[in-house]
Amino acid sequence: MKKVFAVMIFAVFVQCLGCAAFAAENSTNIGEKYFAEIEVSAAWSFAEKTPAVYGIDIAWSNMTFVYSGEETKLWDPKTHTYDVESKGEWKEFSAEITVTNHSNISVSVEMEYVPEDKTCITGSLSKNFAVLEAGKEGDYAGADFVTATLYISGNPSSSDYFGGEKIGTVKIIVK
Amino acid sequence: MDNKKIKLLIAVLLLITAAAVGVTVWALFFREQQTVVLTPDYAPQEEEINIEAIPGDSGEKMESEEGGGSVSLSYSNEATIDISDKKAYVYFANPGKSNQDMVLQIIISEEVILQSGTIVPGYKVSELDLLKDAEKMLSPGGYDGKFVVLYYSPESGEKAIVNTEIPIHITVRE
Repeated sequence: MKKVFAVMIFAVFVQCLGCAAFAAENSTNIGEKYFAEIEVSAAWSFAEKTPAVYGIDIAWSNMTFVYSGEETKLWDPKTHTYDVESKGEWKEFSAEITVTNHSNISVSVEMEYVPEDKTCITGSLSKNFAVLEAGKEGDYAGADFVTATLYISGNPSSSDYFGGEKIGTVKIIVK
Repeated sequence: MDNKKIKLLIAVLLLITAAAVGVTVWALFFREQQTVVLTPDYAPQEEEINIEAIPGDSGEKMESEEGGGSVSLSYSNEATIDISDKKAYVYFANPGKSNQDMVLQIIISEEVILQSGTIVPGYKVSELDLLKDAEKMLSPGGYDGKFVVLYYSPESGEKAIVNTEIPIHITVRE
């Protein structure tokens, strides 16, 4: 009977040891007392805003176009009048316009030549439209750009354009 | 027709004539004319009063060919107009690397409602005065409009052959 009792007491001790071992996994032992631990955690929520900032550079070369012409007056002895022959050519007839995008957003660029009223001189651009990529962080020199060439044509009369009158405008629309 | 009736008729005719003359005089001399804003061919003599220096602008110029020009624009495509203030609130800068002066216009439905004075390189504007009576054309709400940027040579004041248009969204508040 004593042996049986001793075995039972031993078994109870062994079970108590197991309970203590399990408790050690999820509790802290302070001063031989057990306390439950509740984990408190924080999650960092961060919304980064990058508002669009537009930075556009526009450069153009010399926009003074020079037409060199000459007139020859030929005397007609039958009518006693002069027949006028005129010919000429553009010496300076093109200029470049470059648009560079330093924005943090892509932009579209439209270019248009708008002639002044009552001019016989016309102009055309080699490019009228381009989409420029957004600037890349840390790469200022690599900014996307477009270059268009403006070509001028027509036969101006010397009396109308002797003083270097304005013949038109290049309109650049940045969207 | 008796005399009384003739007198009454004359009185009525005189009254009508006087009213017609009055309307004509008012239409010719007192009626408010629609303001037409013409784009200047030369830069305004006066610098824009609302300009502020751009902090930290080095003023280092862009390369430019002789006879050509180079400009740099920095802006936001959102603007606010306060009807009671008669002002537009914008972000627009002419960085120091530009070699041209600028004049900024705000246009809504082909009507120029604002034209700045000269904005020299290295300066920006954040508020500008509306043109006289421009606020009367507006009511609270959103408008699609545009910046028109005109460039002028600082030496001669002559307008450059190149100009720029930028579509913007405008919020009008009371």
